[in-house]
Amino acid sequence: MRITLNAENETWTEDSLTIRDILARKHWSFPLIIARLNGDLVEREDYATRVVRDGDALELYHLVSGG
Amino acid sequence: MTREAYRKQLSGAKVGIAGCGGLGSNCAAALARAGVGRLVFADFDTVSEANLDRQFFFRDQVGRPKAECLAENLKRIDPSLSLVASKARLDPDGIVALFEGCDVIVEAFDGADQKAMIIETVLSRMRGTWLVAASGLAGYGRDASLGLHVSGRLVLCGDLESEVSTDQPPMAPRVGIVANMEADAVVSILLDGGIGEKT
Repeated sequence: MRITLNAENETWTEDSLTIRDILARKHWSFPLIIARLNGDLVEREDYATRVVRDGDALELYHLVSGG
Repeated sequence: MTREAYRKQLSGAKVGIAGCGGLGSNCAAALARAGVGRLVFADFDTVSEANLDRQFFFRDQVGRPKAECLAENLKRIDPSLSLVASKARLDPDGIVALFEGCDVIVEAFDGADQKAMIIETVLSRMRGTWLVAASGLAGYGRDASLGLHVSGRLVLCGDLESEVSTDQPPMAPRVGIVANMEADAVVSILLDGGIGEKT
């Protein structure tokens, strides 16, 4: 499947992956992330079940303290 | 557009600011100077001496509520500003109640968990409202890494990685840059109706 991840093209051999799979493959273990799939906010408890498919646009933003 | 035309358009706008620390106090000052007429802000904390290294407060305000002191300081810039200053710790219901009717909300919290909380709240419960948030502003230098990330009506300012720690404290110049990036994003949204293609 081909998706966009933070507006960059990404190609995976699988037909679908969960958001948790993608985080693991990118080695992103950040404690706080905002995830949007095709513009919709994905709740943290749904990362393991929400499936990303060909053509989807996924955005993952890392939140760190400071302000 | 002329200065007068910009200011006239901004004078009718209403902007909410969640937190009055390094981001919120400096962002509010920039918005007030730019001519944004109505500001609504909240912070539960009081001014400490350590805050004076980067926040828009003064030594004689130490010990007093940040929201109240910020209102005073903004009024010294422009007495005609319409301000709502709340000494409160914001939760999801408080955010929706306080910022209802705002054209744009600025996330200016310190903790990453609080940042996530307001982003989730606004994206799920205030879908029509723009939210300008910040992530990654600690330390100094590396200014080319500071960017603007637009996702629908969510705008994230910062480098998305520099977390505040003992070895990497928040410092006035870089905090100020990100606070002013947030203010600039707000002005862009107010004057142009949005940022980026996806609105």
